[in-house]
Amino acid sequence: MLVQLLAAGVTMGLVYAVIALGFQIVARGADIFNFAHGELVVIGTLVYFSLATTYRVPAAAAVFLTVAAVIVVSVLIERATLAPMRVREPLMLAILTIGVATLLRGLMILIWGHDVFFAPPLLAGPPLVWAGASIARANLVLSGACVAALAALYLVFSRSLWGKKILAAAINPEAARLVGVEAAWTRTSVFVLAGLLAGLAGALVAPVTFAYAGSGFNFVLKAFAATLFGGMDRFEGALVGGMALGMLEAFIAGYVSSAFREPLVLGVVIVVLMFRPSGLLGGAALRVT
Amino acid sequence: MRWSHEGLTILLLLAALPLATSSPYHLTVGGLALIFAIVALGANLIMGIAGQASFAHAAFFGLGAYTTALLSTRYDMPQWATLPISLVLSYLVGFALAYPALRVRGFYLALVTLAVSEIFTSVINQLPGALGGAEGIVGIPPFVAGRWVAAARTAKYFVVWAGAVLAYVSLERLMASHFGRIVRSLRDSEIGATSVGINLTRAKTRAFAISGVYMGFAGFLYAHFMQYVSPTGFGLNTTILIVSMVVVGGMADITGALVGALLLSLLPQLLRRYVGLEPVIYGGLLILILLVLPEGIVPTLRSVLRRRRAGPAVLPGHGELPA
Repeated sequence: MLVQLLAAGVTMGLVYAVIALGFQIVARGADIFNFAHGELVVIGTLVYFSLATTYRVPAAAAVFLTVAAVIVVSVLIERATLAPMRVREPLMLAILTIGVATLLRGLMILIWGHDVFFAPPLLAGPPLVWAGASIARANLVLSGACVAALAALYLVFSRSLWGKKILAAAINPEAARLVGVEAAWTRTSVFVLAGLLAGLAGALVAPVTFAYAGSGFNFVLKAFAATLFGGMDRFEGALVGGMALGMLEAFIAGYVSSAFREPLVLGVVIVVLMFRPSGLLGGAALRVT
Repeated sequence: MRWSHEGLTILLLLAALPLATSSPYHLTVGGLALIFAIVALGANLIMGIAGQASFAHAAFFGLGAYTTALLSTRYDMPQWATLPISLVLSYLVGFALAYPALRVRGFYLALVTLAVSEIFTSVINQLPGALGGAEGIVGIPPFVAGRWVAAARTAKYFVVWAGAVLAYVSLERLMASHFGRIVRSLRDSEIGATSVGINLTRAKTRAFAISGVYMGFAGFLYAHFMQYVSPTGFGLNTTILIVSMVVVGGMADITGALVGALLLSLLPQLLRRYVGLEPVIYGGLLILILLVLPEGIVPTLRSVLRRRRAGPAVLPGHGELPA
């Protein structure tokens, strides 16, 4: 039981970390609270489902195409709605993304309807049994891909000039502008990365959960909860927060009550925030928005 | 004392709705529009005027509705008792929610209020016995005052209308008061407000609590107007609708909240032919308004009218010389 719950917690925790990281890159790099991030994940699940079942594209190619499609949508959102916005107040920009999320949800319902789809697993075969727990092969692929994505992002931010420019703009936009990091360029880069992470999470999670056009808020809520846990002063917060959320969900569902999983998890998140206002990893200072 | 008459004029025109139509359908749509106008007024106080990124509006609305619904169906409590209980509870919850608002700001406040809102609906959904579950609560009595029962649609409509007038006038007076100025200073500059001796803790907790009271009052009216409540009416979609109302009408503008609520409540009626397109239209409209009229409809109209009244602008040096 314990090992089983740990495995479930780690798998979902990694997915949440990938989703939360995309949300946080936009929040920090462009100062935008992106309510539409969950919808990007849902587009990922639905596109992956259609490619894998209707068009019979092999799994690896389907994941790749899904990620590309979600990046295009993400950049389109930024170019068509957020860039032309004249009022740059964070609250108004957040409300604008609520409009974008609602529009995307409506379009997805028009295309895919209200049906719930189940995508085929990434890797077929009998589950592996280890220490009394059975672990689906697809979940190993899922966890591996998430770890690879997080590691790749870590390298982008620590080694590449591109990543360092984004980080600089996130930490101090004024100073970054003075040394030639353009704000418009940062915003587009940030949305490319967010689309990449959301598309990947969507494609990977489609076989584990399901694909449904109305599930966007559910995903964005996970990104929020993980962010509240881990804080977003540092990007490692996404990993810590995502894992904490995944574990907490698995253990509350396993030992306390699966019906009250959602409210209990959110309750714990709020209590943590009362004592550490910028998350578990957060520093004392918090930028006023 | 300067009264702005725009909002009251609109409300007086709405009092004539029962003269124009006796269809229960039209009166229900009109009554709901007025109820949402009260919610939007409360949401505008905390979000637009005080500038706090709070997204728990639907939960406050639902708290008022569920409190009176449960007390009047399960305990047969009279409305002169359930109304104050609903209002006091909304005040206290608003007060409690203000504490995270003191600790966290901006992004984190938005996250916490959304979490609170989500906890509200999921707890109701999971407790069919105690809170009616996903099915909701039926059999809520209509408005009662002494022997008088508002059984007819028209009577219910007038009760809700009176509530909207009360909410509008009281909020306008409140904003013209000393407290109103303090709340506005929260939006403009917290540091500036503190430097002139404003107690931020008190100002914020009171702004949250009072905005909660308006939304809870709307919830009370909703429960007895519709005589039915269910958790779907108080979820994230409702919060999005309320936020859209405030933004479309005009952030921080009291008449704006009223106009936004009325427009967005009537819009679905005009779009009934396009079933299934609602989210596309709502989302598209919200984006369009924010991009084209970021100030909102009412403040934009107001500045257009002011410019017209002032006549064509005269450039310095090209006008008449002073005698």
